[in-house]
Amino acid sequence: MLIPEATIAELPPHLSVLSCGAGDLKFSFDSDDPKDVARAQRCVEDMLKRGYQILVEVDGKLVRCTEFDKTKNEYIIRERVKGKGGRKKGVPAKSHRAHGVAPTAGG
Amino acid sequence: MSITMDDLRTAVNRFAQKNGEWAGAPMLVQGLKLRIEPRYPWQGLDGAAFERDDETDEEREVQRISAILAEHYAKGHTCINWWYCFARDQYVYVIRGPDGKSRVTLRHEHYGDRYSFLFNSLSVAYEAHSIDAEMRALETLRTNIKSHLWDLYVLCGMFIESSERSGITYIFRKGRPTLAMHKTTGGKIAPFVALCLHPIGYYEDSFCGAMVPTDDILAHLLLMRGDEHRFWKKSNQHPLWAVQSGI
Repeated sequence: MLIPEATIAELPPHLSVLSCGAGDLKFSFDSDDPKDVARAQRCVEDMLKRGYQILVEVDGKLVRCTEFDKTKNEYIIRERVKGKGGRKKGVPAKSHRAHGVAPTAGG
Repeated sequence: MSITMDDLRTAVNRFAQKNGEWAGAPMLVQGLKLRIEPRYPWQGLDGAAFERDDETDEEREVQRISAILAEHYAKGHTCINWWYCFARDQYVYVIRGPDGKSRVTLRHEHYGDRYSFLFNSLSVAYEAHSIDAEMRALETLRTNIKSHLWDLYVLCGMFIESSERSGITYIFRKGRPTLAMHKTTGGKIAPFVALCLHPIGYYEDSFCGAMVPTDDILAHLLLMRGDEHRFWKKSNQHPLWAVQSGI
């Protein structure tokens, strides 16, 4: 049942959302079916509105996504620029893995 | 036709996702109250449990302490205040007797508190968590950590990762709060706090959250890597001596 190790590196980029009862849900922006892509877009926009944390893998690191550009299918992250604070940058959802975490409560 | 807990869990989560809750919804369990994150839309679940009694938390706390002290005191004695003394590494109880006079008792932690947490966690796992969800969460975790760390997790339910940003080293533990460690003045690495955090919510007096244990670990790991400041901000920081630290 577990994914063979050789396949892990070949996993297509997708949005993985932690979920009660389901373990995690997966959404793909790289599907041939436009309905799948539309569902993934709706999921990201909705999650951001509900206070979910969307963390995108960029150059081997996780960065928080603050917005989603539906027209370009891009996660908008804040890129640090030395001496200038930060600037917004679009990261294609089709080619970057992302993780969604529901609002968290201290236990 | 009988309905199983799995059926109920599936129906609840399907309903939640149909109504736009991507992370699903937690199950109620017997006797253990849910504590829900304030932004989760179904706030009616906060404080809910099957067969919940109407005692306040304070009343339950006093009764619990009185039950412990009943081992050493005759009837008519009540505990009117208590706290933890760091200097003595003991709990301090102020006891009032039937004569109206108060006296102080010092006591090390009772094993019953730790046992309750363990047993309650077992109950939550049985009633609220799904083995299928845990297996899927394990697959997701495996794609997010190196193979030798995965081996450790399978073997002993924990693994270590250090933050490049803060230099803090974390022990991520299945079904327990994450331990944060730092270098001491002597150059050794030692834990200094236990961080407890659950997506959506958690069950009182247990180590369990609304999601399966490996999903909790994923939440800790992803937040530590992606937004460490927020990870600390949102976590409950338990001292290592507390029952809630899981040590």
